[in-house]
Order: sequence, then structure tokens, then C-alpha cells
Amino acid sequence: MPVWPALVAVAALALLSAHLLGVSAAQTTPRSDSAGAEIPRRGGTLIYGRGGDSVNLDPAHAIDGESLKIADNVFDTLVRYRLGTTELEPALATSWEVSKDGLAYTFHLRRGVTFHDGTPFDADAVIFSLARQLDPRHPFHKVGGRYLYWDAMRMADIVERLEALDPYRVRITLKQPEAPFLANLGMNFAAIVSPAAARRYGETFSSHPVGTGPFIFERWRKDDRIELRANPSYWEGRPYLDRLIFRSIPDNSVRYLELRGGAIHIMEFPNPDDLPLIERDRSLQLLSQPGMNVGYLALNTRRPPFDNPLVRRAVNHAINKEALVQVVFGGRAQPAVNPLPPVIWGYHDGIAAYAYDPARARRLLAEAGLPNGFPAALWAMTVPRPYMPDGLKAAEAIRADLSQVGVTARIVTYEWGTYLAKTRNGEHDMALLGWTGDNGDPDNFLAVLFEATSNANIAFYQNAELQDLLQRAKRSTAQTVREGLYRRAQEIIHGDAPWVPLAHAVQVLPMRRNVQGFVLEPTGKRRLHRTWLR
Amino acid sequence: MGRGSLSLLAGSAIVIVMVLAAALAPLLAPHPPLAHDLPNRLRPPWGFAAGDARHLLGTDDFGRDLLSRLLHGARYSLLVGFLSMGIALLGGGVLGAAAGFAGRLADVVLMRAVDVMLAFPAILLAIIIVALLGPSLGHAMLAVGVVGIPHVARLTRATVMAELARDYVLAARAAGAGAPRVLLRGILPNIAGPLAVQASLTFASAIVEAAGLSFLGLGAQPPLPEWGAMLNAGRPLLFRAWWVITFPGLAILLAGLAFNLLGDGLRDLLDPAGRR
Amino acid sequence: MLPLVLRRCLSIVPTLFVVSVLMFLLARLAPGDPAVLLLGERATPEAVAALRRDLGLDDPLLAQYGRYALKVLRGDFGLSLRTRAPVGEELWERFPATLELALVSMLWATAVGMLAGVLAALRRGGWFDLLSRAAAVTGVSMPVYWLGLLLLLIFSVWLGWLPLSGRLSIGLEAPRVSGLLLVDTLLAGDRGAFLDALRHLILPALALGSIPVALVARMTRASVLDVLHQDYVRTARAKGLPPRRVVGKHVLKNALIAITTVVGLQFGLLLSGAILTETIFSWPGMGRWLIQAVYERDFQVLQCGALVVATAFVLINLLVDLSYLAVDPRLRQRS
Repeated sequence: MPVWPALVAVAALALLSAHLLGVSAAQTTPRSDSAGAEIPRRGGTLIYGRGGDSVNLDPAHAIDGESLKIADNVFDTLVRYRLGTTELEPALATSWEVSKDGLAYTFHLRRGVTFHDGTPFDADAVIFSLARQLDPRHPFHKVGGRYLYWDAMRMADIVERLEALDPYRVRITLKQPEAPFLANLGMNFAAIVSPAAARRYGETFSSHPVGTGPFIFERWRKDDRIELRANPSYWEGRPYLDRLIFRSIPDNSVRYLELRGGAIHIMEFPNPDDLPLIERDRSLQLLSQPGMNVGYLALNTRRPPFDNPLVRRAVNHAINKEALVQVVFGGRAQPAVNPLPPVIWGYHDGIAAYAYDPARARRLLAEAGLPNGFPAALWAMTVPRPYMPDGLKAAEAIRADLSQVGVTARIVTYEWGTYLAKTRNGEHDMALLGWTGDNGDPDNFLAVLFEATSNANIAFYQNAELQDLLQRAKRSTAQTVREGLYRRAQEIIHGDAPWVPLAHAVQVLPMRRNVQGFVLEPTGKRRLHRTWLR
Repeated sequence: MGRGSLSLLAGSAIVIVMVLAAALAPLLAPHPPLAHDLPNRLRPPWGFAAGDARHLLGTDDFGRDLLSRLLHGARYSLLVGFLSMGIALLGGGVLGAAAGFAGRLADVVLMRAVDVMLAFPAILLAIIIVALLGPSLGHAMLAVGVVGIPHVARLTRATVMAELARDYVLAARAAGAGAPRVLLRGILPNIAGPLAVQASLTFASAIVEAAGLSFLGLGAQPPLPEWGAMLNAGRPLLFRAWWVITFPGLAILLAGLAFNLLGDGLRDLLDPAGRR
Repeated sequence: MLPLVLRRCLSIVPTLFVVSVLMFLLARLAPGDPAVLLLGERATPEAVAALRRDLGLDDPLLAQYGRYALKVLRGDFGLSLRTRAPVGEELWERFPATLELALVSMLWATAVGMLAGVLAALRRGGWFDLLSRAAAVTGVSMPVYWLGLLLLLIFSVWLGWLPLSGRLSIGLEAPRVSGLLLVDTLLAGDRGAFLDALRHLILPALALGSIPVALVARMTRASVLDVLHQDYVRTARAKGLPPRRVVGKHVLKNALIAITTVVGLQFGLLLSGAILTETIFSWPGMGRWLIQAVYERDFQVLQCGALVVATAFVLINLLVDLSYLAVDPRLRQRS
């Protein structure tokens, strides 16, 4: 009888290994790479494979990445990020003026735009879309629950008043000057929704989104797929694709197989170790772009011995970021020097990283009075995040590095919600975490992560000079001034070393070779209105 | 030699080998199970291209020797099977015996409780137990054990009730033997057979289920070389390094197989008529 | 018989009540705040406080449960904390997918399991007996994730016979009547879509049925052997009745009770949604929905899911018990 398991074992091994050969054999169909300008072809259905389903299709209620991808294609904002960048350009507003005191923003709206339900886009729609979030007495303020992103961005502390000056002019008045405000308006929560549709669907608008965007929402099969079709009267011209379908395929390996087989055109979140296979496959292409994110190890400056900058610097010298990037990110990340990623303006490229140097780390520890090292808890998250695909693996690598300099780290994990809550309470010695940028403004990293009052400052790092710099940078509207302030801020942070900045994950997106015109964006947006199929 | 003894033989042979492997893991394992060796990461098993005789089953993505991890992992998997089985057997046995013994009202109340446990989605129950207590191998063990309780309780109750109606029990009670005495002296030896079978089958499913929880990230935490956790860690490497997921899978399969065979063999041995 | 059925139906009520209270408490005792989970890295204290107020999470537990129970009695499961959609609708979208998969899995598992069990019992000790029992033991011990991937690699990737993921190919639609695609496509008279749905079902059903088939085979074999040793069967055989008729007439009928029990229990388990199977085969069913709800602490979904699964489980077992009565009239007297 025990013959059977042996048979199964051998079969499994043989199958799997033969499968690998199959992979390498399939890579030998050469096809020339077309470079030059080609005329985009119209038509076709693009199927976009992703790991999870959307949660909420109302752009003001959505806060998860999977929901925002739909909003990217169904809705427009007043201003938007130029494709593939964080620079602002006109969208539903054709132009705008800012008053001298930096408080009043006047937007001139695009004319002749209609929503997918045929109703016209005008100042009322803009006021409706934003006032429902701002005004607690607005009839739609409670519809669909809290406006999560509006709350998270503290917009209620920024915006004073919304006014329609005429059908095509809107004025937004702020409570105090706020340099990143315009960039915030490019985010999904500020998208303009059809008031008529919002009234008609009420609570169910979250599953019947109606905007002005390049694609029209058609149907949503929960946990299976969301289908969109081209908006023939899009104000920027009809998109090339006829249809755009987002499918949920939760297992990474299966999603990759679907891409290889051609059943989907684009796949998200490949396993890092599958990337070499994808690169060798001539029917596929791999788009990649430095990400607007940072994964870091926060050192709790309230707890000894991490209240000593010498110890924090020692830890910085002890961790081998290059190896970490190889093991955890499959090489698809830049080792970090600063908390700010290099793709954001204001990045300080003159700062030299703490070199990987265990001997020096040991010397610094000895200098701090800890020649034999010390024990400490190393907290790690158990869920994959965009800035860190596998927190536990990172923790294992860091633990091994720290043991080389005498620091014995004990890995501690909690369920994700508890992890966030407990790290914000400062219950950790060292904790892994990260941040993904929203709008391309340095304030969105440095103020969020290091303001003394921000609860995302889980290093509990306090520096009076830094606080002052961050406040001044927020109020100033001159970019050159702000840039100088942020560079100085990065120098201070580097010297005090409240973190070990670990890596900036590179975003990679494997797709079929015939997908053309798609551009990766630092904001993580997935806009497919210029994408076509060859 | 009947089929039963063949199952028994095969099952116990594999079990003995596994127990030995677990006990002697530190001696047998060629490498420490947790030592990172990045230059040697993802080395295929010996005999394949780039394979290395020093790593018979290859290495994982930290360069750790798979064979050594599997050997050490046997300790955790056997422990999980044993303790989960113990929890299920003890909890279910006590509940079931009490229900079978203690009269109508207790029976109704206890069996209703068992019904609720059965009706409660088992995997949800296990996941929530782990969520309550935090993910760790010990809590996964507890969860798997608790989920097994109602099944054992039902079996025990049925067996006890059947035995209670037998002549020898009636006679003993008529002679004035107290309930505990009847239970211990009369019934326990008679239901030991079915319980032993149930035990080995529970052992088998506990190993597979605990591995399932580890696989969902709710059981053993890295770097512990528990087999389910290893399977989970090997998941993203399926196309890059098949061995990292294949060998832990085989180990779980083999363990489940061994205890199932043992259970089947025991059943046939204890019940030669082949009744059930 | 009718009063019996009525009494059994009524006894479901306290079970469901306890399940609902248990789920309510367990979900709230588990660490992790749904408001923090929704906001993630962006959870500012003010946003969390506002969201908790909005979701009613700050009210006393008793008030929360009372509100919930009153709603459920009116057939309203409330809104999902995460998606803000009515939980009843969310369930209605996923339950048929799980039901269809469970039905098909159970159907083949029962058919194949019974056949294999009977054949194995009749030729006890023969090669078929050995092989089928070895296969059964292997089936029970195989990690599902592993089995699922092997099936996908063999039948979808190499042979290219079956699709890798989903329930229906893009471009095909079936107007929803029952939510079971096999039924709906037939009702629509769309043969192509029917076959497509069937092709999508085969591999997940194969994976999901691997454990039940082994259990049914094992149980069938044991009870057939059991019955074969009974006096009346021996008599029938001694009288010279052909073995096939003996099996058909006496043995199977009596073995059916034991088999129905296994099938009922297993079917109940399958309905809670096979999380791993649904994940590997991208099946949009209850399992994925519920595990997501655990991770996100979506209390409303968890409570509804537990109630639905418990109800299904209890009802199926009620049916099983009733079918005993149909199979074996003697039991009618006893109860």
C-alpha cells in the first residue's frame, strides 16, 4: 500500500520540474521590439488581473488601492497629475488663480463636459462633490458613512468655504495658507461625481459610480470582476480600448499563469522571485518605476537605549540594506538614505548613507556604554504592504544582522489593526512600517511622519528646529523656499537617526507585450485612457 | 496476513521513523535549521543542476538547509498533532461520557452545546480563536483541538450509550457499582478501541489542519520550521524553486498518511469482523 | 411524523440564537479595531474616533446586540462595516457560488465514493480495495493548496483543457435566476455558456471533493462489510441470490444511513466555504468573503456568515435525519 504516496511524490516532483522546463522552452519565440512611434489602434478589451476586489466605488469613500483604481478610470478631478508624474495640470478645471494671501483659489471649469448619465458638469457638481464631505449639515454628509480620506487628510482643518461664482467658476477659501492644497485636489477623494446619480442611487452610489471619466461603469460581480466600457464622448477624446475589465485572482502564482497564458493582459503583485522568469519571457514585458514610498524601521526614541543617538546610529550601521533589498524585494527596491523617496522634489541627494559596517556599529555601541549589545523587541507586520512585500522576512533579515553586533532582537507580531494601534501607542522598541505618498508633496511624507503631533510618528521623535521648519514649509507657497526648508529637515533627521530608512520599493507591473501606451505613475494611479492593444 | 496488519505495519513504521527523526533532529540535521547562508540561497536538491551534496533537499530563500528544517519541523508537527489530539480527546471524551452517563437533562444540554459547536463554521471558529489569542503555534494547536471536540464527544456518547445497554454493565449497576466505577472498570476498556482509532485519525487531521492554519499565517511564525509555515513560505517560490514548497508538502502528506494508515490498521485489528 | 419534524425545526431556534450571541461576542473580543483597519497607515486619532462613532462601535455591547437582533428578526443583516453595502446583498452575491461548488463536489464525491466503497468491500483484500483505500488515505492527507496547484498545472497549464480561474469566461453572461450558473445558463438556453461554466467548475470541485470522496468511500466500505456479515444477507446469499441483487437490494439500502450521515456532515462543512480552494481557483464564494471579514474585523459580515452557515448546517442535518426515517421505517417508532 505505501506505493501510492511514493507515486504521488514522484509525480509531483516530475510534474513541477517538467513545468519549469516548459517555462524555459516557452521563452524562445523571438519578436522584434517595436520602438518608434506607432499609431495607436482602437478597440479591444483589456483585462487587468489583480489580487483583491474593490471595496467602495464612490471615490470620496474609497481609501483602499483596489477601489481607487476604478475611480482613476471612471472619474476626473479639477486638477490632475500629468500622466506618469506628480506635476499638476488642468483637468476639469481649465485654469485657476490663487489670491495673494494664498487663501482663495478660483477655478475656471471646462465647458461642454457631461457625466456618464448625460447630466452636465458644472459648478453645482463641484460644490456637491466637495460640500458633501465638508459640511456636516449637507444632506449627503452621512450618506455612505464617513469620508475616510477627507478625514485622514484633515481637509476639514484646511477648507473654510466653497462657493459657485457662476455656472463655470468655483471659489474655494482656505482657513490658512496650505501649500499642498492644490496637490490634494488631484487625489481621488476630490473627484467630481454626478449629483443626479448620487441622489438617484443614494446609499448604493458606492456600487453605481457615475463620473465624467474615460470609462463608464457597467457591472460589478463581487470578488470576481468589474467591467467598464469606453466613454465615447470623453472630453479628452474617446479612449482607445473598447472595454476595460478588472478581475480578482487572489493567488499570485495563478495570476502569473493567467498572464502567461494570455487570459489577462496586466497582472499586479507578481512574486518577486517570478520576475526573472517574466523578464525572460518574450511574450511579456515588465514595466517598472521607482516608487513614491518608504519602508522603514522606526526606533522608539522614548525607550532606552534608543533614546541615545549613538545607539540609533549603531543600528543604522548594523543593517545590510543591499542584502535586505535582494532577499525581501527580489532586488526591486532602492536602499533608502532619507525618509523622502528620490522621486519627490526636495529630495536631498547630498546626504551620505550610513554605511553597512558592523565593526563601526559595535564601536558606537561601546561608546554608548553597551559593549555587549542589548536585547530588544523587533516588531514586524504580517500583512504585505506596497512598501514592504513581506515584513516578517525583513524582520528575519534584520534580526540576523543585529545579532552580528550583539543586539538580540525578538520578533514580535500582531494582527494588523492591533499592530497599527500598538505602534501608535509606542509599545515597541523597534517597529517596521512604511508610507506611500498621496500627492507628491514632501509635506505628505515629512510632516505626516515626523510632526511631533502626528500619530504616524512612531519613533516619537521630537526636534524643535525640525518642527519649525515643517510648519514654515507648509505655509510658504514659493517652491524654492520650501525646497530649501525640506533639505535642511532631511539633514536634521539624518543626524538624529530616529529611523533606519530601509528601502523605496520599485513598483513593477508585468504585462503582455501587446499592451501599449500604459504608463506607471508615482502616485500608484492606474489610468488606462491612453492604453491600447496591438 | 491481512490488509489490516499491513496498514498497521506501514503506518507504524513511518510513525516510528518520524518520531526518531524528530527526537534525533539535532544529531541528524546536517545544518542548523535557522542559520542564514545568503550566498547559498535557493540551491536545488542534490542531483539537479547547481545542486549540492551538502544540501540534499536544497535550500530556501535564506539559504537554510531544507532537510535540516524538515527534520526539526517534525518535532513541531508531531507535537501539534499530539497536543491537538489530546485536547480534542480529553474535551470530547469528558463531554461525551458525561452526556452518555449523567441522565436525560445533562444529555440534552451537553448535546445541544455540541450541536452549536458543530453548527459553528469550524474554520471560522479556529481562525477567531487564533485572532483572539494572537497567531502562534500553541494557539493554532488549541484551535485545532477545540474544533475537534464535538466530533469526539458525539462518538464517545454513542459508544458509551451502546455499552450502557449491555448486560455486563446492567449487571454491575444492579450489583451496586457506582457510576464512576462502572465507567472506569467496565466501559473504558471496552470503548478504548474505537477511541484509539479516533485518536490516530484525529492526530492525522490535526497535523494537516494545523499546517493549514500556519499556511494562512495564523499558526507557527517564522523562523520556526513548522511544515505548514514552510509550505506557506515556499508559496511565492513555486516557479523559481519548486523544492521549497514540494518537500514540506510531502512531509505533511506523509505524516497524515502514516497516522491514517495506523488508524485504519488499528481499526481492523481491534475489530476483526471488519464491522467499522 | 409531522409533529416530529415540527419539533426538530423549533429546536433549531435556540441553536441559532446561541450561535449568533457567540459570534457577536467572539468578533468583538478579538483584538483589532475595524476603524483602524479601514484607515490603515492613515488612521489619525480624530478620523478613528469619528469612524467608530459613525459605525456605532462605541455603544454598549448589549445595545449593539439588541439593535442587531431586532434587525435580523426583520430579515435585515445591516451594512458591512467595510463596504457599506447591505450584508444580505453581499451574501446573496456569494452564496450561490459556494452552493454550486459544494453541490457539484458532493455529488461526484458521493457517487465515486459509494461506487469505490462497494467495489472495495465486495473484493475485500483485492487490488482495487488496496488501491482505492490508499487513494482515499492520500486524499485526506494531501494539503489542499498543493493539490489545487498540481491540478491547475496539469489540466490548465500543460494540457490546456480547463480554465485557470473564475466561474465564467469574459464575454459570457447568464441572466440571474438562481445564481447557480449551471442552472441559469440552461434556463437561458445558452449551451456555450453552460459548458463554459461546467469547465470552470471541474477543477475546484475535484479539489474540494477530495476529502469527502475519501470519507464516503471509507464509510461505504465499512458499512457494506458490516451488512454483508448480517444474518439475513448470509441467508439471502445461501439461498443462491446472485451477489449483484444481494448488494442492490439489501446491502446498499442498509448502508445508506451511515453514508447519508457522512454526506450531510461534510456538505455542511463545505458550505462554510473552502477558503483555500476558493483562493486558489479564484472562486467568488463565501469562504473568501468570510476570511476577508475576519481579517478586516467586519463584524456584520461575520455575524451574518455564521448564522447562514449554522442554519444551512442544521437544516441539512435535519434533512439527513428525516431521510433516515424514509430509509428505515423502524426508526419512526423509536422517535
